[in-house]
Amino acid sequence: MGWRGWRDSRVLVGLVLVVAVVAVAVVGPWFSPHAPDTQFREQLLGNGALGTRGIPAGIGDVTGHPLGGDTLGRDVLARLLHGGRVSLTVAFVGSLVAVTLGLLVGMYTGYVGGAWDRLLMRLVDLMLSLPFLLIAIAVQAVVASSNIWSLCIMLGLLSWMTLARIVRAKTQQVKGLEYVQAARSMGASPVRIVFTHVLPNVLGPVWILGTSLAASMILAESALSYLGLGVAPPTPSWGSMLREGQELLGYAPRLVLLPGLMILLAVFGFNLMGEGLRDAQDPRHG
Amino acid sequence: MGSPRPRVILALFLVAGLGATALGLCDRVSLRSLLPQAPQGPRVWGAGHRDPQYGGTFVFGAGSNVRTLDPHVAYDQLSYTAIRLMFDGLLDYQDAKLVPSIAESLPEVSGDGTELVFRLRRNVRFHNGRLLTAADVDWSMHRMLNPATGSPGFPFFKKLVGVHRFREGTAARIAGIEVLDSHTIAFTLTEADQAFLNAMALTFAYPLPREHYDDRNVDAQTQPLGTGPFVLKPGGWERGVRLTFQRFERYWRPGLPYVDQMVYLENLGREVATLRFRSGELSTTNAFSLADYLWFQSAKAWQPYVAKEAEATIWGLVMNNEIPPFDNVHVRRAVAHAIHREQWNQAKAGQLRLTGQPLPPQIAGHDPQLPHEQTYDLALAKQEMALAGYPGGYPHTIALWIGEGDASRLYGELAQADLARIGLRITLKPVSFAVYLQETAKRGQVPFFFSGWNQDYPDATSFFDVLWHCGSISDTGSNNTSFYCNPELDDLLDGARRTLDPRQREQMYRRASNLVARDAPWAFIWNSTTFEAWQPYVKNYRINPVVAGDYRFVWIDGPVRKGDAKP
Repeated sequence: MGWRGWRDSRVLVGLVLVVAVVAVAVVGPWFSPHAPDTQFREQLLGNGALGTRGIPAGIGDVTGHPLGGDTLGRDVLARLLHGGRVSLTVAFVGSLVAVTLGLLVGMYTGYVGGAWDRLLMRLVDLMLSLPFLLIAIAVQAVVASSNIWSLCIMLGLLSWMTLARIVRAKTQQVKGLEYVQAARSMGASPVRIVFTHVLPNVLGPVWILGTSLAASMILAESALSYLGLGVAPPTPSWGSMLREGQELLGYAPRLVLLPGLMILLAVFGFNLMGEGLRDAQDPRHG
Repeated sequence: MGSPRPRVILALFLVAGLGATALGLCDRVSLRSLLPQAPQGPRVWGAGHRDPQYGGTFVFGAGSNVRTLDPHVAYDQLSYTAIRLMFDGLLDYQDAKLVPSIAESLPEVSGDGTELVFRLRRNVRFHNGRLLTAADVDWSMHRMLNPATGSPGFPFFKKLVGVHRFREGTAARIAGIEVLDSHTIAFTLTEADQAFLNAMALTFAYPLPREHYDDRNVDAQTQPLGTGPFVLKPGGWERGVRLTFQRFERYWRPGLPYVDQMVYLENLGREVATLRFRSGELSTTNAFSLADYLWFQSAKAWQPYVAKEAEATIWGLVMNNEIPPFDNVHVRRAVAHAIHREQWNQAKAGQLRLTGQPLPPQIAGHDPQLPHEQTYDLALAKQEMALAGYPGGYPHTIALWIGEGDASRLYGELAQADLARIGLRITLKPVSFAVYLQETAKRGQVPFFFSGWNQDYPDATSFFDVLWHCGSISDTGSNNTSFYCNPELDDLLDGARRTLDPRQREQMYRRASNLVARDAPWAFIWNSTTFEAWQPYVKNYRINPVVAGDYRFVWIDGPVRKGDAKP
């Protein structure tokens, strides 16, 4: 298979964006000027007094805070840098859960077949028919846990289905190939066949789907945090920053635009990468 | 596949990103001049009449849904607003004073305060056309106090003679209620109760027609029938969306009401409400985001049509006195003194009226010079932590339950930061309002939560007896949610309730205020204000300081005209 992924500029741009955003999240906090939850209360809205041009005193006061403070006087730059950790952790761990589960279910049902195959595929149909975000909101509201790991697992458990289907089809295809038949007739165990022959063959689509999954995880986390169902305050995430800033959208749009921009960058990067990878693998593209 | 060229995507993306960043960074200066200017003042105007005009539709809304239209069951502000359009009580409030309504005058009270005789008006009609008599009041009181009705109103009427026997089922009637003639009814109490008259103005005591509410085919929650100035239109309640009322032509107050139709929108978010108000779709609004609040306060053209009113409420942090570490009075005091009230107010742009005691200023018993007023004093707070045995901080984290809204989260995070300074580590637990109400009323369940209390009527009993009396504690439906129980306070409260002399009574409540501030079952933080705006065509509206949303007798200066400038 011709692997032209690296030459497609979309993959490259996507990769650069993803690496940049990851670098911000991983390294950024070390360069953060302040802790993300320190409230600089001298920066608060002020005692009812309006500043110049109708802008409340305090919001937008930039001394010592390059991007100003939020409604609680917390440093916006620090929160942006730390907020990425939550969003990206959810993206990576959530996708990892989904990919692992999808791979296992897909390879098992594709290779073994039988009653379990039929049962699991109906489960896939069922879960695919449910609206993802709605279910995520419902589960978060009922579980009422603000723990980041439970959030990752929940999102992972809700998004493995498409991957399982694709892996299953690919597995069935690979299973019929001559060298796999040969390996089987020579007495190789199913586990060995699946991991040495099937797995390398299905990894291509897995990479593609995994990257777009990461993008949708970031969006889902932002949506949940925006609705107040994400990680517990005062831990910042880009989604919760959107929510916190919306009240002052008319006065201090940067409180919403900056985290929005970070989400845009990350999601765009992952999607670009996923799309580029897919087209690079598609024989119809040169 | 025809996906757009990467370079185009990249260019578009860069432009969007740079644009967003630029806008974000220069929001302090130039955004306003870049955007089209929204109209700064009202857009819908009245015709300029001086005398009341008839007709028109008045539209208002609320942020959540109306639960019930049964006056005996309702116990929330939103339901009250709808119920008060359709029903009347014997007594009513005007500017925080009790005034007669269906009753001709305030009742005759015997010298020892245990017997009250009400005379009723003879021209009061129910919406089905029948005239109201004393028998309706009698039947309605029995309906409300019958446990089968499920009314939360009983505690307000527990001093009625024979009410316990009636509720246990050992008496068919309440001995303390007696119909003297067709329009006279007497109530007898076991001892003088200064809160009883106020209780008679609550919706729990509203008279209902028996023939309607006894009918098995009638759903009392959704099919109201009263004596009030408005009638619910047939099919007029789209649940969760809107209620539509029309004027009752045979209302007993001559010439009232003025408007033809009232529309009450449910589940109207405050941002949306403000937008719809500014475009002229709503007649009034009273819920604003922080930014809109600041805007309306400063917009010159709106100043004649906005008002701010102090509400008789108390807000603060509730500590469950039965759950460690709040079983220790020193920890509670430490919390009360660690809250930096001034800074909280700054975060809310000065909307709060700060306090450190249980009663709001307009209630007799509030003491401007309270000896144990809870004030911010970090040194004292740390000292109290040391006295509690935690000089280096409390070793466990404590969950602080907060509501779902942006405001609750803001207060939660402020408390979190303040309490970290005295060594209390707090995690925030946002829960829905229904869960919050249910769980905080259970014994041993919620250690620490954020809460507010709105008076039922303007009297100290509406705060003390409900929130801090041992008698209000129960295992699953506790009104005393701090589970604070102090026999010394109970003696004081029971005595004050019996005391007829207002001066002496006030002194007793000042002592009670001091006691509760000192023992700190709550960290008292602020009393709220309401801020309302209405369209210039809305006349005869004043904020009712006891009952929010009293729009019954407004009139509309029609025909209304649209236009950005005053005609």
